[in-house]
Amino acid sequence: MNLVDLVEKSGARSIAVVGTAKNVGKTVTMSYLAQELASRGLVLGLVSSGRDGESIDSLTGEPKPSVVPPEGSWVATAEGVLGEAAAFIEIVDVLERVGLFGRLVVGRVVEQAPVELVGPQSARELSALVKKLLAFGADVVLVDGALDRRAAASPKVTEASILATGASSSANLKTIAEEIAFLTWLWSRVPPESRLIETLSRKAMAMNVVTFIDQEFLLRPTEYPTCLGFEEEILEESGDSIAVVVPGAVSEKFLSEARAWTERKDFAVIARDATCIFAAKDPGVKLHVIEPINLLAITVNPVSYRGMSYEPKEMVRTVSAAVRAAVGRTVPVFDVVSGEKSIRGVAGVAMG
Amino acid sequence: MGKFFAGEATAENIGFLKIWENLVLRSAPGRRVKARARPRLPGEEKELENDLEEIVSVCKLWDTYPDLFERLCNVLESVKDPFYAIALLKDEKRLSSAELFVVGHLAFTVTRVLSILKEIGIQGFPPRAIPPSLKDLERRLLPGSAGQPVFYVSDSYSPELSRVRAERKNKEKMWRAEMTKEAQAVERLLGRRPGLREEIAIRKTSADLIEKARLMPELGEIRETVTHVHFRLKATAEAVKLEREINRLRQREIALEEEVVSTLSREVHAKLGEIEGAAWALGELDFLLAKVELARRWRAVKPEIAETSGRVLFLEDAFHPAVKEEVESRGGRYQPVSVEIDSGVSVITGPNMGGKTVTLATVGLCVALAQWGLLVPCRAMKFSLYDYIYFQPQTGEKPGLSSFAVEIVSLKEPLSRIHERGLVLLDEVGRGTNPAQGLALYAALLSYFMENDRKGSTIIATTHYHGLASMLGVPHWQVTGLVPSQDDLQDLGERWINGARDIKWLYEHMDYRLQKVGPDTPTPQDALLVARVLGLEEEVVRKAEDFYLLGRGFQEGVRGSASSRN
Repeated sequence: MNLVDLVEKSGARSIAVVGTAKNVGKTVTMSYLAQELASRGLVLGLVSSGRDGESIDSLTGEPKPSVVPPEGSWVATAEGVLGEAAAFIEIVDVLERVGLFGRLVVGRVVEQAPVELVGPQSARELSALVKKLLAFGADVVLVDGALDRRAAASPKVTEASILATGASSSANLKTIAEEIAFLTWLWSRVPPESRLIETLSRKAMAMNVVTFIDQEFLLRPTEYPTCLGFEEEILEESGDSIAVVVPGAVSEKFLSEARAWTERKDFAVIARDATCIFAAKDPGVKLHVIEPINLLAITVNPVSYRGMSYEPKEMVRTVSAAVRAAVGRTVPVFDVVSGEKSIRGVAGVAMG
Repeated sequence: MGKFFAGEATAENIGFLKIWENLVLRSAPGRRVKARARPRLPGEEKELENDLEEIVSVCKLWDTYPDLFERLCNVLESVKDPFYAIALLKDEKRLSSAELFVVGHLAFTVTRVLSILKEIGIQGFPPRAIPPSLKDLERRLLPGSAGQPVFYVSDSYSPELSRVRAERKNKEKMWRAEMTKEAQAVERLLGRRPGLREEIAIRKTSADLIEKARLMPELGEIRETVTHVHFRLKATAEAVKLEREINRLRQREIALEEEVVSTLSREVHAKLGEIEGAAWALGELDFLLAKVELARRWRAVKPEIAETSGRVLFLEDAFHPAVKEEVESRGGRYQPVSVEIDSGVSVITGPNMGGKTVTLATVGLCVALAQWGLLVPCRAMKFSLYDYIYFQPQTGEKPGLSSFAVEIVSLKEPLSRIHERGLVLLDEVGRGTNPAQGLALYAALLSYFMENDRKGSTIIATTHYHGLASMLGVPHWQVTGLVPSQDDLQDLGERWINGARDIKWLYEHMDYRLQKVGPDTPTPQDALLVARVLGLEEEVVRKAEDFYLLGRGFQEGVRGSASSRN
């Protein structure tokens, strides 16, 4: 099974492609998926969360590949970056909200041409935009994201996600594999096993303040709408609670402090979804989410912009093994942009 | 909110600001029209009469055609802000594709709005809310848009553009065929087919393959990494020639596209007047519908506007929407306010919790709503226009100023506008200071208005000083207050035994209606009853009743001690 089969079989109508760094082949993955899905008769929608850097790569000076949406697909981007592409797009909507690059323009691609994608940053607006493209007639919407624009992967926005990493992500293969394995672990967080705690967590989340769940399964709301900047003040109140539900962002400091403050080994931190959790390593505390991310696959680009490149098979194998060790299951890993393969060869070098 | 509201927070205090802010418009033009709205002032009675009559007639139409109005609201919701395009046109600038779409969309919206208005009966709407048809513009900018407005620099705008595009596409096809032919040749020789970006990467372990590739004229070496050498397919001479032609055609195409956009911009510019007129008309329609919706929600009525004579302020069963909502949300029964007050000074007395402040706010709110062109939440209203409204309720202190100081500073405002016709709502002025001096100040303030006002202002003053009205010889109204029947008192007694001394009993038994006080009307003992109901020590309440019965002697004692202190 190749990446396109996997995407098609998932039935997801919106998919985030999130790069872990620049030059990791995210745009290539997007373009590849767009072309292949279109060739299977699906109508594509393409949007971006925020803006993906500049059109000229500041590191290499080479023009960066733009997404080339197939004819008939729907795109949304800011009027300020539309440029010549405006001539290839039938405009069907102009959204009132003005961003840095002007208003968002929604249109249907009349003739295949490179388009720079700029979209809204917030999960709420992004979600509305994805729904709009689906309403216009897109079968599958691909959302371009990055770790610093991770709202794309929020379950509020997309139904499934693909992580893109590559040789440019870090200095050596071991580090690359460890980083992506941790990210996969984080994005594989699930709701609490207990249905009762899950129900309580949803209730607590709706209250929009950090809330403890105590031993008697009662909700104990704090006065803090966020944990940012109040990590210690909040955790001081933890008492004999079994979990804390945090609306919004969960800081790394909060997680490490949580371990220090609570005596209970099974104390859990519950976030809305994994895109809200900011951590670079296993925090050593139980971590749950209310809305899990459906991580479909990982793509790797063995070539870095520094000219460095790995043996594709070795890279796929190393990443795959590290991921399996971290999450205890196999996540499909695909190789993109390997010169040894034609674009069709992107499909399924290895699955574990 | 301009000069109409005198004093720092009158608009907020009477509850007008919140209602105005919650008047949500569906479109950008509607929001602009609302932002430009201002109250009608004395001299504009006829205009206000018209404004209000419009709302009444559209209200009736809405009752008759609810579905059509729902459609109209949905269409207005889809309006794109046209004012940026209008600004560009005024500067004679070229519109972008996005702006051309916005203008086309405006024309499309106007067509839909006009067809709905015709179905309802267009003569029922004021002319300023009926947009001029932009059918020509719609046809020109959105050709072939069936149901869904779409703008695209299509071939139909320019035969030349159509020709160039076709030629460019043809050359591109030839270029692809040429490159594919070459790629196939490479594949035959190397056993490898160029992939993404026409590239081939060969592992360094296959040294012979690399040598072979280096010798092939079709391939150029582009970079070398630790493990691979990368090659890219070179364009053949024919392909290079085609590329050059494609580029030339593309440049021509871009120029032609710009020409189309410029031509369209000029055509749109010629219709600037109609476009701007349509934008504002949609805004007026949106604003009118918002006012009608509010009137329907409140079952509001059109006030009667008295021009010069009979300057009476009459309100029957008026309600303050925010207070009503609050009362009903706690399960209470809201008692509407009725007043009939002549111009000049009137005094209202009443018990604590008797709704004196709410009465003032309701009067102020109804007048403000009416002058801002909205129907009024009451059964009937009659009034004549004011130049300004002033209301300063008893509120807390500000940093560095006592509540008394806040009050004094605020009072300068209506005093400075003595030559205008004001609705001056005074809430227990002087409460926060020495009682005797407070009373003196209040009486002086009111008599100043009585002596100097020539415009027929209405001054309503609430107070606990029962003698104030007779001291000045002005009409005196009192909140009916607590008038418990024998059964009620028995019920109250039982509640006391059960230890329930709550505010709820007060809410249930307080009669908020105003009644005119004559010379023989006794002063109610509401304060002591309120204290008792709220559960103050019985001994204290009894003592208070004894003191009260001492009556005048006690009051004089207070006055004496006040004057001896000064």
